[in-house]
Amino acid sequence: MATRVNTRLLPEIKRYGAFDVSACFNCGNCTAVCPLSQDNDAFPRRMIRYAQLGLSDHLISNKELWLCQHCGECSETCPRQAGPAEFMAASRRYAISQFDPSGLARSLHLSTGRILLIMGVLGGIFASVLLWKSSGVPADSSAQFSTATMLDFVPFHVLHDVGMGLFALLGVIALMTLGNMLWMLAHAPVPGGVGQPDETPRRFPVGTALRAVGLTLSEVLLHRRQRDCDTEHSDVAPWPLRRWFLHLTMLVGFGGLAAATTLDFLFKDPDLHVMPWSPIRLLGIVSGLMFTYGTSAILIKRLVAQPHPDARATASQRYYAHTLKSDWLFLWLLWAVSVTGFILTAAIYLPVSAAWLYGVFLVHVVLAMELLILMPFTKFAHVFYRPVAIWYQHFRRLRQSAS
Amino acid sequence: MPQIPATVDTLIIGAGIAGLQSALDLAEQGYKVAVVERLPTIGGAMIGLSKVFPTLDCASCITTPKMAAAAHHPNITLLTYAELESVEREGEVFRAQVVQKPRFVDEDLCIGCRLCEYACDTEIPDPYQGGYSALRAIHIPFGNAIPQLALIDEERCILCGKCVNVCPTDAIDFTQKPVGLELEARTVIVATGWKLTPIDAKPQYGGDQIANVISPLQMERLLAPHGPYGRVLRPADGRVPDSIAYVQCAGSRDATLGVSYCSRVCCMYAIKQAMLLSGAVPMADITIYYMDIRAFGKGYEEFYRTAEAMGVQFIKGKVARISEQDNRDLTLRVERIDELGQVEERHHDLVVLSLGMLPAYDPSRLVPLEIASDGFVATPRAKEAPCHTGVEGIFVAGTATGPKDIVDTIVEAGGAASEAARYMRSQDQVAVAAGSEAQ
Repeated sequence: MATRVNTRLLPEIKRYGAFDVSACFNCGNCTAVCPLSQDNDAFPRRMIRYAQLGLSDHLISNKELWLCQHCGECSETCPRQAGPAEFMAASRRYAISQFDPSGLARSLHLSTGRILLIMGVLGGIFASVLLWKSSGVPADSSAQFSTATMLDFVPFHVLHDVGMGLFALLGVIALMTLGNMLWMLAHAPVPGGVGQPDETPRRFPVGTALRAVGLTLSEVLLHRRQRDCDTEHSDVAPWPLRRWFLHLTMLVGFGGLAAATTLDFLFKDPDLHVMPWSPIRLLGIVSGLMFTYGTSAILIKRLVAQPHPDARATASQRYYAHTLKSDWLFLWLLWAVSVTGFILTAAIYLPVSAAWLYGVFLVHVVLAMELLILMPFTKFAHVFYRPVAIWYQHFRRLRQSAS
Repeated sequence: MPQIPATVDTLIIGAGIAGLQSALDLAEQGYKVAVVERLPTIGGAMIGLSKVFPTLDCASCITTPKMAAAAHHPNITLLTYAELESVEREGEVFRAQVVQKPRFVDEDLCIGCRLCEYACDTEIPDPYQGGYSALRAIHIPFGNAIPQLALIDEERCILCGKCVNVCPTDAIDFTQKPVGLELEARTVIVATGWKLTPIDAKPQYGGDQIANVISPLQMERLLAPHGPYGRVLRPADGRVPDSIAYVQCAGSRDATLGVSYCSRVCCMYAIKQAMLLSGAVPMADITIYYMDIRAFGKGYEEFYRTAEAMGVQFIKGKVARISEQDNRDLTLRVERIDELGQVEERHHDLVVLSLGMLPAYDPSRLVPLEIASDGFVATPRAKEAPCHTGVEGIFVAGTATGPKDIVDTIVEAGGAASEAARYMRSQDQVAVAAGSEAQ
């Protein structure tokens, strides 16, 4: 594989975040201070070097890019104040836009105008399809707001078909971008040699791969890496407000909501009114509350964060101060979906009836659909890139220790 | 109290190696010089060093003769244990206010016999020995201190009076008070020197928490012939270290410490100490962790290569963390940039932080001169008059202008003396011309 040098690489990545790695003198402090760097899975200095040299393929094919959890320790202690943590974050955004050949991800990261345009157009399409066979808001304005009236407003079969179609489309796109990433990971250069592909095994070791899946799952579900990060930095927030905990509530909340929705789809008559303590509904309510808490707390933390450009800024001050367009897009979407969902659930169980609730329902469904279909192009893409990178790390370690 | 002339040609601030060299160069040319020193002895940082790079000469064998020469020169007046209060220009001359701090020992009567020191029971840490040994509350600072006058640590003396009973000349005087002096000088040379970056500047290194993480000046004392232990032992438990590490750029080239500049001497002193350790602890492994070796001076690159050939291991990579193990050994976390860039945790018995050079203090509080952005004295015409502060009649020498080694310090001290002499000579010629015109 020939080595391609992209002379515009550094200025290009800079558009995805604030850092100054041209100041880096390659001392390796960032890598050595990082609580997650170990042995050969070492970052960020090597990635910074690739960027300085314009080695775009080397940079985005590195699994280490996704192993970083952005604790900010490296930026805090960097002797040149080059912002290695912010560089890693920017490189991840850059990688998301590179794994997607359509250019949509790039637009969603770099241009507020295009974000609004894309969201508006998609929203318009979804809304008109959903309302295509609508029987409208109930004429009797005092009718109790319920699952049944919601499904009169947006017919169940339309919701079902559009949802299924979106999931299929999402699957195809995700497989394509993920395939792109996996191909790059497998062909990533080994440290010490430039452009050499990794040694490929003759037969794929299925057992090892499955064991690596197990390790990855336990790590992701327990948020082990985030907690390793958290113990190191100087954030003194109580644990319900710590970054790892908020992220965990979002992950578990989202997973619970997805499970509840799927189970509803499979086992529940759509028109049936269920009590809040029925198991699936309970799962949905608890997950929804967690999800709303996590997204709201993180949004507030980011909103109140002031920019801290000076060298003495703590890791978390830096972290929240560097919120980019793509972060806002993702967070606001999550928050809007969770809050509208919360309102609808509350309305079902409270004796209320109001026409605007159907508006909230439409917004909820449209935004949820946008969130899903834009998943591979936004910050959301980390839900598959990160576990894949962690899996790949475990897989390689297991293979190395076996041989 | 020695006789202090009211008027001198040059006032030199600081009696380190730079101040002494300037004083001797001017005194030899017939100029009257007064040297003001805060500490009770002259000699500065250099008298505390073991040996110097790249020749491995004994530091005190170079410094002591210069100290003695300055002390005995008829044109040089030494004001030790004296605090400069201010220097102000008055027409053609400078007027300096100096406070002679009380030693509580009569300087004319004390004969330096040390009987008081032997009688004293109160022990205080000895800064000259890196804090590793003790002094008495009444003491002569160290063996080859000049002047050989005892002084009492005012804070820690318990006023028991044992020294008074043994002093053969009745020199001890608890009633001494600070004495203000006024000096007039035609020129000023600022030789205020440097201090180390604080050892706790980078919390990740645990400099003030971990006993076996030490400063380079402490290592100088461990290596010196008259050091605290007389041999190289690690401070925490007195064991002979088997594995010693140097962490380069521990106190400079680091924006988080506010010290972005290179201190210039750390690479070379680390290499020098590594060589000396190879002799002092022959079985020990010595490792130097570095970002890049800056062997900039004459003979320095050869010195570096010699250390490599002697078996000193050089590892490229900045150490990011130092932690202490239960047995008081140390774990260093570093990225091996010279290998494949992997992260390693490496173990050592003793770690020396190669701390950098900061200005000793800000002399612009006392003397009308400019300070550059790095905190050192500004030299606005560095290429044509490197020892000139930009202020008429005020010159500067040595590490007061920025980090530098002894070789460069001596060169600059000579330069400052030469520029001061030229300035005074041209003043004299103007005065002579004015005088002959008046006739």
